[in-house]
Amino acid sequence: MAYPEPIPEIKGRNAREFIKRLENFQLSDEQKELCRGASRFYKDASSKAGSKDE
Amino acid sequence: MNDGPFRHSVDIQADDLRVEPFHETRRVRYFDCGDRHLNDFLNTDEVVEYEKEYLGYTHLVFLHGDPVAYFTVSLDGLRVEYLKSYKSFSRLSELRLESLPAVKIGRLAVARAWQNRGLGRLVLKYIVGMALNMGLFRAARLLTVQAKPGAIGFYRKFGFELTYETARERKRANRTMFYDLLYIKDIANG
Repeated sequence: MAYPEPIPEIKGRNAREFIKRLENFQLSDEQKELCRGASRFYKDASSKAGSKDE
Repeated sequence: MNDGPFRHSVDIQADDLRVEPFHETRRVRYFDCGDRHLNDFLNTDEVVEYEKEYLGYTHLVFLHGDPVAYFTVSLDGLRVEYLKSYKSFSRLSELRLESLPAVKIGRLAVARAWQNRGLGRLVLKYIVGMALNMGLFRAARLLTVQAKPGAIGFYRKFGFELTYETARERKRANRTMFYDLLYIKDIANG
């Protein structure tokens, strides 16, 4: 069985650059559209779980 | 994600999907996404072992009752060494954090017959909603994934960013990517 790889440490200059990237995190309009309403989609798709449609 | 030999031609409507947690009593008989490791995870007892060992939480995605995709998530953290010493990043450094809490996408697979039809995007959208809504994950700042080279473009299209290359990653093909849940929470909840 392959255990999941942990997310690695990010050190030194890479860590500094990662935080800068996190602080500048942005999405394009198209990318925003992809996640728009994600909460509702999650609730709707989950609430149908167990329904008999098979 | 390659086209399968039996690619479906109908459009996938989000309303037609439902997502269920994996249950050992309701195993998927056969799943083929074109990747042997991802197939084996679901087609063998590996998925059961993950559940038993609390290593990952697997969900099955159904379309009209057929399993068309699955994903596994777990809690993780992106450990950013020496973050607390960076004066230039005052907001986070004031919190004296050593790592950022994350929900990690361990696996995401779409059945061959349904690839390249926007299903992976919908599954990712579901995971975003899940990460923002489940009490257990409420404290997660990031979605993370260790993307295979062929999947980096898929995650980028959604807005995932590469972290910087770590020493460990230089020895492997997969790259760590992140998605800032704090940034998108208002959009996702809208």
